[in-house]
Amino acid sequence: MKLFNIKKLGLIATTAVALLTGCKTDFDINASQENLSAGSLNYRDVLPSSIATSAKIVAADWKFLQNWMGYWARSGSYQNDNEEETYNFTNTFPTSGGNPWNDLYYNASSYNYVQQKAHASGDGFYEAICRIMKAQNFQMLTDVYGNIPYFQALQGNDVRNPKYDNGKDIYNDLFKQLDTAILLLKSPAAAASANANIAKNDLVFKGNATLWIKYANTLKLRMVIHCQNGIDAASSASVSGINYTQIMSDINAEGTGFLLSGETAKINPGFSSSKPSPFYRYFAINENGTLASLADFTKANAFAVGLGTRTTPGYYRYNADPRENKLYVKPDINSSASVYTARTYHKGIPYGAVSGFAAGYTGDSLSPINQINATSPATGLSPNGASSDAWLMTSVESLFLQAEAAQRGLLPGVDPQTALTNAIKESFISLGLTAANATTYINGNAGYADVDYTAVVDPTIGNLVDGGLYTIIAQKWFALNGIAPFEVWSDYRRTDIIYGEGVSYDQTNTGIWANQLSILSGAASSIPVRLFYPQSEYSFNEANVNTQGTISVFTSKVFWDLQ
Amino acid sequence: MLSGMLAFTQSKVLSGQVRDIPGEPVKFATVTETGTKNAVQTDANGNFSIKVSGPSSKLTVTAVGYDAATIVPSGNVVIANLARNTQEMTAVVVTSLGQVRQKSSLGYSTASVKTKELTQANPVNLQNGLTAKVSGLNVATTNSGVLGTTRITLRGIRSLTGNNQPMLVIDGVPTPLGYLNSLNPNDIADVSILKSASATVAYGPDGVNGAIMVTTKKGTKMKPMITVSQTTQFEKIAYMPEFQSRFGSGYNQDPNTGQGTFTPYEQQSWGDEFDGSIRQMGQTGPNGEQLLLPYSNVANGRKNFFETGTTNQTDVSYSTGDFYLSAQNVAIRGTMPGDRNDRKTIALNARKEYNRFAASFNARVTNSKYDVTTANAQTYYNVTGAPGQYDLSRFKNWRTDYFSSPNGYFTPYLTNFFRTPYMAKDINRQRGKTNDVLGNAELTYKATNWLNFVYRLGGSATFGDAKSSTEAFSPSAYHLTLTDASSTTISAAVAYASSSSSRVTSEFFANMNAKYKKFAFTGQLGQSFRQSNSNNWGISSGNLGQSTFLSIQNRVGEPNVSAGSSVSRLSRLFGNVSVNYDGWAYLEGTGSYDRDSKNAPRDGSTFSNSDISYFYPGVNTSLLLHKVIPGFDKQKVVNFLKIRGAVSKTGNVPLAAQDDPAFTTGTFFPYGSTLGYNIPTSIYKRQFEPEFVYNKEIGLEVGFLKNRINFEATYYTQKNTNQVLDLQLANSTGYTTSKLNAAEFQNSGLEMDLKLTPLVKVGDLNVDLKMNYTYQTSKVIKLVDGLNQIGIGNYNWVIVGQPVYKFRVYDYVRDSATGKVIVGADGMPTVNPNLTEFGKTTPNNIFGLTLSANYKNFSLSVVAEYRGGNQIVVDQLGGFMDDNGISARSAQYGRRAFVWPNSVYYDGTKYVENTNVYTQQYNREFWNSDLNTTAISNYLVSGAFWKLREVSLTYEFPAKLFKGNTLKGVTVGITGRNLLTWLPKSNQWTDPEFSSNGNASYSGNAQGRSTAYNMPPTRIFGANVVFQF
Repeated sequence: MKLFNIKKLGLIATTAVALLTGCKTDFDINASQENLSAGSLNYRDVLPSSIATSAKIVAADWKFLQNWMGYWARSGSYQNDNEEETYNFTNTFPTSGGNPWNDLYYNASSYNYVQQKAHASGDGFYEAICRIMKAQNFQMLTDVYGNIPYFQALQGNDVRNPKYDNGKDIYNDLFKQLDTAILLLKSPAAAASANANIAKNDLVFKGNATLWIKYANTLKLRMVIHCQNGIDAASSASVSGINYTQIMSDINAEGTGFLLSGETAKINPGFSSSKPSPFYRYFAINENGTLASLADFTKANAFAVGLGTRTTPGYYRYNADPRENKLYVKPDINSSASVYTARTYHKGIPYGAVSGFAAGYTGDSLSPINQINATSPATGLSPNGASSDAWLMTSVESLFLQAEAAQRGLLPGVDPQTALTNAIKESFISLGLTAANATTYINGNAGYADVDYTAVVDPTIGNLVDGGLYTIIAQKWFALNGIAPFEVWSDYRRTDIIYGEGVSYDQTNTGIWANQLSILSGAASSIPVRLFYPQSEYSFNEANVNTQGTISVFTSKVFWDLQ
Repeated sequence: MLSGMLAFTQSKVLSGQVRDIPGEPVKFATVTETGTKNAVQTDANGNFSIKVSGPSSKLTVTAVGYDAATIVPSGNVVIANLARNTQEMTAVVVTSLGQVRQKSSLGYSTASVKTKELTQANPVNLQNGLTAKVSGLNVATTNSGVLGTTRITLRGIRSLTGNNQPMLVIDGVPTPLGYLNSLNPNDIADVSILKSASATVAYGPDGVNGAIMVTTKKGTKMKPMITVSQTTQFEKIAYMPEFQSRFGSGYNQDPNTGQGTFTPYEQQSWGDEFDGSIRQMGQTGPNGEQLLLPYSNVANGRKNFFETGTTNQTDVSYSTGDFYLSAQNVAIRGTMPGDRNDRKTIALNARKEYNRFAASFNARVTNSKYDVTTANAQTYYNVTGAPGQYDLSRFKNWRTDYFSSPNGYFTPYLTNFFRTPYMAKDINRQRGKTNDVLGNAELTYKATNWLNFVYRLGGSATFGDAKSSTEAFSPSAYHLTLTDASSTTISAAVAYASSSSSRVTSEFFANMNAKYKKFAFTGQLGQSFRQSNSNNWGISSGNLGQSTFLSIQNRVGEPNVSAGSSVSRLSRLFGNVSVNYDGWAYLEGTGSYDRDSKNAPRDGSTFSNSDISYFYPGVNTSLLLHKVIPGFDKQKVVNFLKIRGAVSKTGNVPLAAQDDPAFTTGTFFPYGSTLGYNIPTSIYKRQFEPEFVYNKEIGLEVGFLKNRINFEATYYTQKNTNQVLDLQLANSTGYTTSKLNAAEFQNSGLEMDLKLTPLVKVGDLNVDLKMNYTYQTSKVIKLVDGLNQIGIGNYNWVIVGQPVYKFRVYDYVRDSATGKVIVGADGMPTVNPNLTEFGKTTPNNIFGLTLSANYKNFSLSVVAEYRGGNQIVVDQLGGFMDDNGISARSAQYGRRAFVWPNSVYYDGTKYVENTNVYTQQYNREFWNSDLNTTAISNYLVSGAFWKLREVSLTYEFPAKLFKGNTLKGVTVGITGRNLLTWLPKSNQWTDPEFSSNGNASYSGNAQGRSTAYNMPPTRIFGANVVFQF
């Protein structure tokens, strides 16, 4: 009896355990029901966001260059951004507006993701766009940081400690990447039928392969120009290892050419006040309808617009340049009134001004760089306010690159002066002015080397240099305000022509404000020529970054920067 | 068979309760029908029920730790009162699965805390009641405030980035740790602390960090008892950071003297020295109003912003046979004006036995309703940041009073951080509700004398929703005419969030026991299954324009939406066999086999059971030497001597369910039909190895002088392998983090408990002293990729060969020979661009002390705690205070040039002691510069403290007063918590326990860095009264 019970109970127990453990409970439940994964989305839909991120980087990440190049400056009501203004950098700089290293690598990584997926599915158009945009990211990275991880970069867990590659080798590979992209765009693989949703997902050119080829060629031209240094073609020392004459002849042979007037690479997926265009979002009004923090912080630089009186003009007014009013908004006479009433003169603040100076240069007494309220005028960079287009590479820059290439003999058959005039006209037009305005401007400054290509030294009118390349570089300073400070910085680094670059604190004399208005062409300057590698590299890729030795932001130049 | 039947007819059933003197139930006492082998055990609440053979049967009640008693029952209800024989060592404890074990039989370390010790200072939650009372247990209150957060660890950490908090088991049912906040401490009968994974094999991965086993009160089988208690507590700011009291508002320096100049409307404090003169503060109002105040420091001007918080706690409980019902209402009003949290709890426990079956049921429902500001940081910044000449309480009526309004406030800078603190807290609010439901049902079937089966089904669910909102603001036209006025506006914003989570646990196990000669065997074999679910969604808009109607219906543009869900399943088989030889030698072996859905491959590929399952064993032993050492009973000094040891392995999958890196929606996408996604910034490996914890411990328990002195010591080591880490990657890899099995470390420690019961006994005066000491250390053994160090955030680093975690922060360049700061010709140091290694982020030494004294009807209890050996970083608060010139630091040299302390300079050939090179910068240009604030080492100080955790004094009215009354007893008491804190001089800022990470289980490991988000520390004092009917 007792024995029977044990058996019975044992049976019950065994059955119960078996039932509970053996029941077909599914343990394959770890795939997320809400989070998007590679398997739950169409990889093609990653492209629009990647392009939008590129536009944000172009618009906001180079805020410090806008300041260094003499366009913008901190309002006197704000505490200074020590690192940016004293040049006492740590390797976390910059943080305001975005960190270029982090942003560019992450953005490149998303293009890389789409490129690999596109390659596997034979979507040639997608692949080509990614190769071009990734090349642009690495061009910027190489230009800012010199030698960087490239061939082993973007491989995630496979290469957690990517080696550093020589900038020159990277440039050479970028040219190849662009060649591959152009070949793809010309191949059947780029046909719209084979690239689902390309017209929608290509926010830039809506699936127009020709314009993408022009974009690739312009990017090549930008890189070739970076490798040009010295004052003029005759004395220019070429960067050895970059066969740019071959590259230029390949471009000429290919024949599609560069981005021309009206062919700015720009996006507008549907910007609106609640989804503002990045430049407007960072430097005017954000999506919440409130002043962006950087907008209040960022005002006109006195170097560009002067100090607010008739007798203290900046360089735009000095040349009677109407673009001044398209790049800056005159301060409101009475900010409390509901109707905007402009002050007579623009007022900027000297960059890096110490507190004693800042007292009269605060808040609403200074010219903002963007529309500030509903009644103040829209600027040329945000003509439609929050709904304005965001640019990736402008036709203005392209035309200036072509002008310099022509001047250096790299574009056979193109007249450099004509090319420059076209570039200046494009600058005026792109800001909402006219070609006639440009002509008036050019004629009005005849004889002055910063406008007149044909100017020669004439002490009687105070012109101390010849025109030519000098004029091209100077005009780039006027034209690329806001849209491409990066290129102006590159000009500053690669040529010995100094135009406009605002100098803040003289780093050897910390704490003393150097009056920018006194710094003219050729004056000594201490603007950094590169940035430190970021802390993340020293923390997480230490051995490799250490192969680059001790970096000085003033003397450790990138490969093309021979100055 | 027949005779048995006859015997039953004469039998009767006696039920009752065994209590100690003064009246606490004695659980697991043995009640024997005197002179027979008929015996039962009391349950966790001291209740028993026994069938006796005849009306004249007597009962013998024995319980470890008590003197035996024999009772002659009258009627069917029996109450046995036992006197304590102070045999602490031999008590029983609740171990895993709710099993009751003799403490002497256990090969691992446990501790038990009684309800009286827990609730003596009327803590609002259990974790505060446990603080400082158990060795190895570290309860850190990481923030104050009405939703105060704590972080609990037992024996340090076992996972570098995973959860390190112990599991919570309520009445045998594993329950999420967050429910600690919803437990009414007065409902708790007993808490057992199982410190090691060896003790929690039955819970596997959940128990890897030890367990807090809570047994709630059940009904007593007697006439009904009603308890009503009321507690009122006050919470006051204990201390603020150290401010300078010499300089008022200003920003600029006089170029001739280098000294600060006064700016009436400046929010920073770089002005001239206070001189008591009457000055106009701020700017003139639209009707010519001026705010005239003496230019002198107002003591407590900032502290006056905070209010005295109150906690009103009302408890009612009703207990009777098999039934316990309690209700609690807690109303908390915070020190942050306007913050409140109201919590209501109802709990019901019931149990029924029938023959071989027993069924019990517990349910608990908690409802919390809160209204708190979401602008703690902003508010605290605005309070601490204000210049010293203001009494902030002057600016309370910001909606009506001109100078208190943002338009007329002394500072015209209306950026985020410098609105009035009263406005900041008022316009940013979160109102929400949380409902917690806990329930479990248990069915026991006693199959035979040696076998019973238990099935337990437990569930917990939480539902919460909250609405956060920001009121709109735009400056007045007049304001914009003021000097330095900013035209910043605030758009109205609203966010709704809803979340729910639930967990269901099913456990089925068999308990077996058998005897063979001098051997006694017990064993368990069981299976458990657990499913956890959670869901959340949110909808928000940051732009309702200037609307005053705060609803999502009112938004401009598209709303932001989010949704998330997770589900995980864990299935386990476990068993253990324990052999007891002759009552003095115990040996137990354990084993577990787990299957965890979270361990599935991350790439979605197919897998089999063996891919997600793992096995781990353990063994432990206990030897009661006092029973076997020859001649031991001859001496009178040592009466109890036990040694024990345990070795176990436990697996754990430290991954969240469905936590694979997700693609996110790009900024502002979608635009119409154009979608846009961002790729994840982190990558996972395909499948992870479980983390394994190899626990080894040995222990010694000694009782002296008839257990008047009890001493217990444990030494343990835990080797923790396959540690999953979010390895930060260089951005050049295209990603920022990678989750990997990346590290191995070991931690070890010594835990000691000494109890002197009584320490003093003179007449009616009885003084007990309990002390516990914990020493913890750890060492990183290896890291992936041959790395030497990995940062896990908040300056916490894992460094090979070093304890986890250590601080690495920016410091000044130092002379390597002397360690002194190198200054240049200008007397100024330079910041070393590379991080410098400093001390540990968690304490080495924890010392707890409980002193309790009873004199007649008075009892006094004092609990104090020391922690030390670690450092803290207060860079955010400290840096902010320096930036704004309000810190004591910024005025320590009177804002004049000084010789950098402990510095050297280079004299051309060598470094020499600096005694005369004064700093070139000494006013705002230094204190608010990167040279000061980026050197985080300026804010790195010792984390040591002594705290007077609890003081309570209670008086119980003599029982004779209530003879014949409905009212049976009244107790009154006064209590205080965290009354005093002693900090090292160097810590000028805040409570070293505070941490920016709060109690977040997965990111909370990086401790020791507090932020300005943390409220100032508080002290609590109050009174309570208990009525028993």
